[in-house]
Amino acid sequence: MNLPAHRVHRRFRRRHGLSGLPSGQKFYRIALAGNPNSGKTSVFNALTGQRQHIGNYPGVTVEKKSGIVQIDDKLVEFIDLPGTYSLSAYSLEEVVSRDFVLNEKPDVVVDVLDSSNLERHLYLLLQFQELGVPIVGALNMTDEVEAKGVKIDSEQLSSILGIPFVKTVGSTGAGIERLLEVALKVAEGQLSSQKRHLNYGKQVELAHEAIIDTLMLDESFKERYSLHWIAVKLLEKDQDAIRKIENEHRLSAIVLQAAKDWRERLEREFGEDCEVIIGEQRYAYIHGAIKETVKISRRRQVVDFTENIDRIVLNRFLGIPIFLGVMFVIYQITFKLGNPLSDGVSIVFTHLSLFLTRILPSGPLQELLTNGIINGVGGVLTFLPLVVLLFLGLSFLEDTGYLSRAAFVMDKFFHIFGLHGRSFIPFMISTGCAVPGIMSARVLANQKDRKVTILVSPLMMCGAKAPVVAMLVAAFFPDHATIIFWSIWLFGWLMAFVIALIFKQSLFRGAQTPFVMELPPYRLPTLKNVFIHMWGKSSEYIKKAGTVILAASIVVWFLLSYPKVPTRTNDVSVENIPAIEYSFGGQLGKMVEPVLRWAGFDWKIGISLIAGVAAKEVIISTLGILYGIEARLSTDQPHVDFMVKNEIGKDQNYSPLMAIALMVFIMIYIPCIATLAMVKKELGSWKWPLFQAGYTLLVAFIMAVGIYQIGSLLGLGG
Amino acid sequence: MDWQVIIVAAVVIASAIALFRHFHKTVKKPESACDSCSMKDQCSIGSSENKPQP
Amino acid sequence: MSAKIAECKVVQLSEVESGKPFRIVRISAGGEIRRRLLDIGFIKNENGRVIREALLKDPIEIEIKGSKVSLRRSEARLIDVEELD
Repeated sequence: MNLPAHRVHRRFRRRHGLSGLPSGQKFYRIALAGNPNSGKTSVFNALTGQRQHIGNYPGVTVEKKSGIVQIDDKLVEFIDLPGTYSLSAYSLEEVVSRDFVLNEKPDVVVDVLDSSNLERHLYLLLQFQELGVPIVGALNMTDEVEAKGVKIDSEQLSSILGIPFVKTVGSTGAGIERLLEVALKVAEGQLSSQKRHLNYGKQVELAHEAIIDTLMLDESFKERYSLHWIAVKLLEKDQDAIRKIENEHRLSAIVLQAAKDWRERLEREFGEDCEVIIGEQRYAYIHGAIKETVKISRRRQVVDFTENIDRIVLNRFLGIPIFLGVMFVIYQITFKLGNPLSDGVSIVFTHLSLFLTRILPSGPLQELLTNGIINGVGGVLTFLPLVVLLFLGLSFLEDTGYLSRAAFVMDKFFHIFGLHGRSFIPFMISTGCAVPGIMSARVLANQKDRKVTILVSPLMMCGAKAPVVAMLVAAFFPDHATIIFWSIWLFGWLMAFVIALIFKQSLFRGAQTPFVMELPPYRLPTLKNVFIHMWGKSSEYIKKAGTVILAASIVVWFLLSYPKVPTRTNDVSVENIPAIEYSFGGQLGKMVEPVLRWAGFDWKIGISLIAGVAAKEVIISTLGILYGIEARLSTDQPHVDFMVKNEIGKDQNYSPLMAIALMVFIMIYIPCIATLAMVKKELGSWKWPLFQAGYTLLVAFIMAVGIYQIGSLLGLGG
Repeated sequence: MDWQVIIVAAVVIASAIALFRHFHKTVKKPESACDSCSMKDQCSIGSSENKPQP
Repeated sequence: MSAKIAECKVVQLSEVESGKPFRIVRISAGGEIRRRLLDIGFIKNENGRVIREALLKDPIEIEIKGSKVSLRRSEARLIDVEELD
């Protein structure tokens, strides 16, 4: 039985709490490791049955994911370790992986390897072996390697390295059953997985043994760490290992001195730094193993698919224009397909609204339902088709592997602005939603880069801003929808770069980090994946609409409907005020209006923008509610034409120029609450989101005012 | 008319409370904004075990 | 009679043209960069090929240890190689 992991997990926790286990039930922990792009994620999916996105992006998986699955009488927890190339002490992901193995002591580590890249992938495997944990190797992507005419003798490889290997194809699930079987056998002790079977050459072995002798002087240390691993690490001058010795070994001075002596000796003998010596020995060992086990059986002229595409896509001059062009095409498709669907949804809501006004007596309830809920939530839901199509396009790009190419092409560009090519990843993710984008900034080891990336990512067009911009574009630029939308999207990127540059030149000056980045081959995403994305994004959008936006719409409706103008009053000053402006919301809007006028905005836009801090989609909701209330008040008829874009287009106070200023403002101003909260979490203090809210509001305002005023002077207003 | 007012008032108050609680939860644990997100398994969200870099 | 050792021209990897193969002679990087290069497969005597360069010749795409890798020009300067034919 293979229940989805999250359900089993929840049920398990509810029944047993964290520590209780029903008697007789065996519990195992299996960690999944591997290089980025080894297909580790799809193996994890196949093992846990959890729906996960399979991306071709290096560096996306920064955190551990886990899932619990019931297999016969055993309960198995799978932990997905971050994808790394090595287990050095230079990055958080690597330290996280090794600490997990050292401290949590999983029963087995399954190392997922790209069979067509065995040399590099075995390099990591050897380092796990050094850690002294039982390992099973998954020779993944077997289908691709066999298609190239390469044969791998997994039996031989097993006997040479001393650990079991299983051939798998993660994307189809082939071999996964066997992999699980073998892993569990190793966990139960039925199958052996040599803890250390490595020989790094006579001299290194000598040094290694000598250091272990000194380590053994502290009995208790042996219990905590694998001595083989510590010895190798000390030879590599690994900072983390040195720190562990200093803090935890009783005779640290002796150990460290011995390590130093042996290091110097090896360096003299080899004429190289110890870290390099050990690295080279690992490769030498691997090379030997591969020579024995990997045979290229036939010389097939496999057309290098990747190579040919890259020739065009990564061309020095065409690369960036192609990227911009690809995005344009995606938006074009989104609008052409999405608009008719959007209109359809809108018609449904309009009818619903009419229906409700017919069957319900007029009064607050009817108003709440029609003006508040239907206008508020419906307005946002009409954009569901557009948003889904957009996300579909983006994830298609990611699945094919194109986005890592784009990172390559963009790196120099990023470099000019003081950013690292790796910032491309958080930026691209932020074009979906800034919250995960900010989290993914952890791939940036350089703290200054990371801070700047985090502060600047929310400037991108995101899944919440997209409907708002789409609505405005449709209202004011119906004939040029795609190009204007695309331009605003581009504008988001531009602003991000410019402000990043400013930050990097002033507040966050700093050195660059290494860029070394692997370029995975192109893959065609499966139809199944495409549908999973579509379903996922749709349900997410609907869920958000039905919860946060629903609640926000109701509250906004209330604030805009009450207090109502008293019908019988002798207070003359109150008589002539339009009813909406009398409400809480109206008064608030009126308060900020004078300042907003400089940018061409009125109080209605003002109150919508304020509400938009909760979630940008609420801007649409608020406008919808406003127009609904207005229509009701002026005609006492139910609001018939439901579409906000029509209403806003008809409003005499607005113009295309103002729309541009407004879109610019929306793109830049204060990030939504979820984003601000994430910034605080990632950077540790409220001063950062506060700063972010402040600078974005200021820049947004200045730009909007600038655009409107200059445009007006040039006579572009209307 | 009265019963309408009661219903509406109840709904508005419930919504306000729900909204407030939602934001409170978001501020305390920002990843919960990802709970309804389709991409959540793919991106770097996770365990509270993973501490952000200082 | 001494054997004549062929003159091998040692250049920086950043100077190798697109399409040309090379063999690594020495890596003069240190610290994290050196480790990263090592982890990706840049070691002495390893063969590779420069595939292409991006706009402004930075970054550079290289084939090494069987797959493609992207390096900044400034990083490629730290790798001394011997050009092969």
